[in-house]
Amino acid sequence: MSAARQTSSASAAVRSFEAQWQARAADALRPVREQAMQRFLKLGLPSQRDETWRYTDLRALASQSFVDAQHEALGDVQPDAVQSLLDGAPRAATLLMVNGFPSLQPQQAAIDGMEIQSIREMSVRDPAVLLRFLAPASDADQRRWVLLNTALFRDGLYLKITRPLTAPLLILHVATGDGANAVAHPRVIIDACPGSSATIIEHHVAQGAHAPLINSNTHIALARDARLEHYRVFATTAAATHIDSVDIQQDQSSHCKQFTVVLGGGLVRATLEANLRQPGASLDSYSLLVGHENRHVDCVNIVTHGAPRTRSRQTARAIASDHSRVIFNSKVIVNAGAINADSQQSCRGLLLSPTAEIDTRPQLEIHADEVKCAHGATTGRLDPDMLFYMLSRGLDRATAQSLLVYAFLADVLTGMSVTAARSAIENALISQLPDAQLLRKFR
Amino acid sequence: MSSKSQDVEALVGQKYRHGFITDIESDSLPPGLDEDVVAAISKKKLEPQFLLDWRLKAFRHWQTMQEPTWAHVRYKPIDYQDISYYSAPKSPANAPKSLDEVDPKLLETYEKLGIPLHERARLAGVAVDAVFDSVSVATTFKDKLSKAGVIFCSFSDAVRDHPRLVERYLGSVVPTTDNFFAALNSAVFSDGSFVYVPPGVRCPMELSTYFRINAAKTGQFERTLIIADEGASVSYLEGCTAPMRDENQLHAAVVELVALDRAQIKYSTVQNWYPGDENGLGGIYNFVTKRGECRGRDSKISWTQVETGSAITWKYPSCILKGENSIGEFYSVAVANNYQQADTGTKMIHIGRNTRSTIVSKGISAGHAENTYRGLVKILPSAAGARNFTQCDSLLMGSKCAANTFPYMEVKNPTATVEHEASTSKIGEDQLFYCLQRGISAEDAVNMIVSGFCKVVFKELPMEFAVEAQNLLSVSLEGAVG
Amino acid sequence: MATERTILLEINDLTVRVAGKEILKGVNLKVNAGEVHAIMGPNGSGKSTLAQVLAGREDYEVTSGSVSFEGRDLLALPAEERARAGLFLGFQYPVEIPGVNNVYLLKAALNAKRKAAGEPEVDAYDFLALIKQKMKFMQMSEAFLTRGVNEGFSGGEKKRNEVLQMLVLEPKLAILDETDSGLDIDALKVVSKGVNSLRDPKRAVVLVTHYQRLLDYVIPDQVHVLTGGRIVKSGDKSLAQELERRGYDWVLESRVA
Repeated sequence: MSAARQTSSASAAVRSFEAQWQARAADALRPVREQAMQRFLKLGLPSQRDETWRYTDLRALASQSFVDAQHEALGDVQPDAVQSLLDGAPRAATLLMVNGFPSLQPQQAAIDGMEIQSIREMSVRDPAVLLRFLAPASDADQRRWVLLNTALFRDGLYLKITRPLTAPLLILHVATGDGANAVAHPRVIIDACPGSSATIIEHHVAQGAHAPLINSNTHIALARDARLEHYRVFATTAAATHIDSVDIQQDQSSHCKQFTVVLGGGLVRATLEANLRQPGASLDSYSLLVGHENRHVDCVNIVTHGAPRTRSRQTARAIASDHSRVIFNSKVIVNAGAINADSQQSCRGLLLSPTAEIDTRPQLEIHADEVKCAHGATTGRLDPDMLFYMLSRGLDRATAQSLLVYAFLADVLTGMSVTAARSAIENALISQLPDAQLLRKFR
Repeated sequence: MSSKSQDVEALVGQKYRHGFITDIESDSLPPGLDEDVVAAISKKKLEPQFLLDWRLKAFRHWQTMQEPTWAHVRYKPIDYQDISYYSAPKSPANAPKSLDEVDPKLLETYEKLGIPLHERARLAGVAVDAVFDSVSVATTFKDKLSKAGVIFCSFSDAVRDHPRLVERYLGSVVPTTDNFFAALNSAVFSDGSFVYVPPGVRCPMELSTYFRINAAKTGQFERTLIIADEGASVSYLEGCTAPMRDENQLHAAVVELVALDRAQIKYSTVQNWYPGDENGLGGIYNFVTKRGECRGRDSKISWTQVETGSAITWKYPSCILKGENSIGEFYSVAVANNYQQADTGTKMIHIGRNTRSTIVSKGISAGHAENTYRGLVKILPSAAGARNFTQCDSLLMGSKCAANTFPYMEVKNPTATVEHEASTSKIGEDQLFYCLQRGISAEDAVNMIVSGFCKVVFKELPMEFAVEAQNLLSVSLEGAVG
Repeated sequence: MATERTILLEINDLTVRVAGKEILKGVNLKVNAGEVHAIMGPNGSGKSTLAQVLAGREDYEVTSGSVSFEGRDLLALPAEERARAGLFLGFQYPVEIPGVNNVYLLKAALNAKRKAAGEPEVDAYDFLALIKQKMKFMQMSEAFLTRGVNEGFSGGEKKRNEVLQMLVLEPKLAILDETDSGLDIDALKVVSKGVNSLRDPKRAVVLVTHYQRLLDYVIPDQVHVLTGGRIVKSGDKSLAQELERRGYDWVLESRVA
């Protein structure tokens, strides 16, 4: 039962990760990777006794052995079939990542205002830059999957934004493979220079019957006055397990608008850790979590106000139907000295089925008194007063209900400034809701 | 800004008022814990076999358990072999038959505490059971209550006089295996209070127990069991104090409430265990399991607590809402000053249809204290139409304290509604200035603002306690605004 | 006024419980086409309950009595069918529905009604023209077109919005639950103008109100006093003036006497 015992007798999964580690050739990042791996091995996989893993059971996963996912040839994937998020809309570029390996065309390295490089190549040419974004693991680090990613990623994307960019950049992550029990550790580093701005959409899809376990990490560093609108959209298959984390480090007066949208996948664990580490940094986080069929969605947001006058807004909408389970676990930490921090969380859950479940944990940890922090969370059914109002105007029940479901999601959708992405997300989302036909009419 | 704050800081100089030690001969077991100690406690109390077996079962399970670590509190490891598990005032007679036989020093102690065991009790109209260290020393108004059919006595008396009721209900809400501290309590509990209200009876007066830890190096492990039979109702108050000692003392109580059909139980606590000094030395570890079960339909259990004392508080008075239409309530004011740590809240487990719960938590942090609200609202698939409303507000006084809100909302029924609201604030300089400008002293202004913040909870307290709670609050917040 | 009077609404001995408590204790009321009735009474007398029950609120339990609307059993119909049959409730506290567009709701409501009547749906263009005309009549800003249903509206704006909806839906029977409360004098005139524009030999209006004030602008044919869950007195418009002067206690006293 105890955590100690679980780690001492390492699970099959942990042993297989260790084997991967031992088979890796040393690179310039080795010391940081070594620390991360040792720390991971010390911690092992999380159990439900771990407060941030309370609602997600990884025992089935832990009992499996994993091998490195194939470095698939580009010809083996059909991005067109799944590449619907931006449709024909203008974009800066579409970058393809297959099982964590970027396939960069030579001309893509030189988009105006952005440098795009493979992490593997950079680790040979310019490891010092990468090391700026790979902090050594500390004894307090509990982020097991991020540690594992740091130790084991084989390649990835490094994006340096140097100027304000208008058109969005799409990163299409494809998980693919036909052998069972593969694992990939995709890594993306977004380095936004002072005063730059960009929109980056990460779209995660899966192909094939045995998509690998994905343990992805995106590290975002926003320098002074940088602005970023970042999307991560999970649209993988019902068999897929995806563990993803986004870390955001925000410097003075930077602004980040982050959208987490879960529309697919069997088990999706999506973590957001934002550190508002300099004065005036500001974050708007939006989560749209759709539980459908047997999906398990576990979303964790940890926002740390580490400096004065930092601001955060979190808006989460969770819908659970069928046998799904949706978890929204958010924590706002205000450090001592972060005076005039301003934080709001709004989380609403809508349960549409007697066999579904929504778990919500809107947490506050406040160590400063000169702050404004509030949160509100509700879970339940559609508001009966709203429903009655619409019925009393002659709308039929199904229409009224669909309208309310749609309105429920609107708070997140209306925040999206990339209209093509927004409408693609709406389309995908509606198809997973009851009365999809009716909902389409409202658009 | 700072000059005003300093005024406020300077104004409250009151110290812990209940920190005296009573010089009284006590009969204690030496420190240490094994099966023999468990058996010795049972033997001293002349218990029937079933209870000894029950204790031993709990003890054996406890030995397999690990002390929990999930709470947001930090303390040095407790050496469970360095605690005396039994300490009773040595009376000339085995047990006092009436107040006249109670050791006069003890009565004096309760006088000092302002707890009316004598004449004043009659005036106040509150029946009191006083527990000194581990043993119930006096219960007032027994006769008047028994005329109404209400049983209100020490737990030991209940074991002797009503063994069948005890056997039936003991551990039926908090099983011996429930958690580390509940298991420990089940093994070694020494005394406590017992209440049974028969069907259809409204208990004619408020019932009250005052707990006092006196002896050094003792733990207090009392057990309270309250049963309201069908259609019965009772209001029960609990107060606690302890002397000032440099070492930490452990208090691990278990309270079980059972409400049958249409029964109502109101349980109020004013907890003022010694909190340690301003440097965090000494104080009580208050690790308590309190749980009520609305077993019958239309029943109601309401917890109200004002928590100002203890070095560490770790308690979650909970309601299991099994009966259809049953209601659970939790109203709490938790104050943590200096180096106090509080991790407190509630659990509302909705099982029955149309069950309702309300949670109102007001946390006040000052000094270097850490105050955590932790609350679980769980709606099971069977709880159609269940509703919960939770409101958690934190007030921070000073920049070195912390306030945490850790709610858990687990909803498995689509017809249920669960709502949670939380806010964090401080006493505004403008509020303070407004009061000062109107000629109100800073001390009064802070008290006014704080009691305004806590008002919704205080109004749930019985009259007798509301005033005491208000006073405690201002004492606890000494030097708090900075 | 029309010479032939058909009965639009007939309430017989209606008793209603809300959350286990009997609120209406045998209400009788007959409303003919072409008439305006005012139901007055003190707070808590059951006025709003009556309005909500007629509109089909589910958690209000009808324990006995009957209601017929144009000869049909109203109580057998769900709320949306009552609306499509031509019954409109102007809510005392119109709910805010963020995220649902105000105009969209109204268009959906109008088309639901037309569809039920076998009429073709109005297209977006015609509808916009219609609603703009009605909004102008109600002196409402076009900003309302883009907002969520009642979202962020002031009390007076919500009431105007209710009357706007009524004008678009053209109900046979409009029940206006304290549509006059919280209005300043200019808004009251606009709302009254809206109500009066609906007066027609084929329609009827039931005004639920506290005060005589509205009745200076919308002259009722009959005034009823509802108190303690029953209609205890009925009369013509002079009854409202009498009530204004002498208060509700007077009705109760005169009844006892």
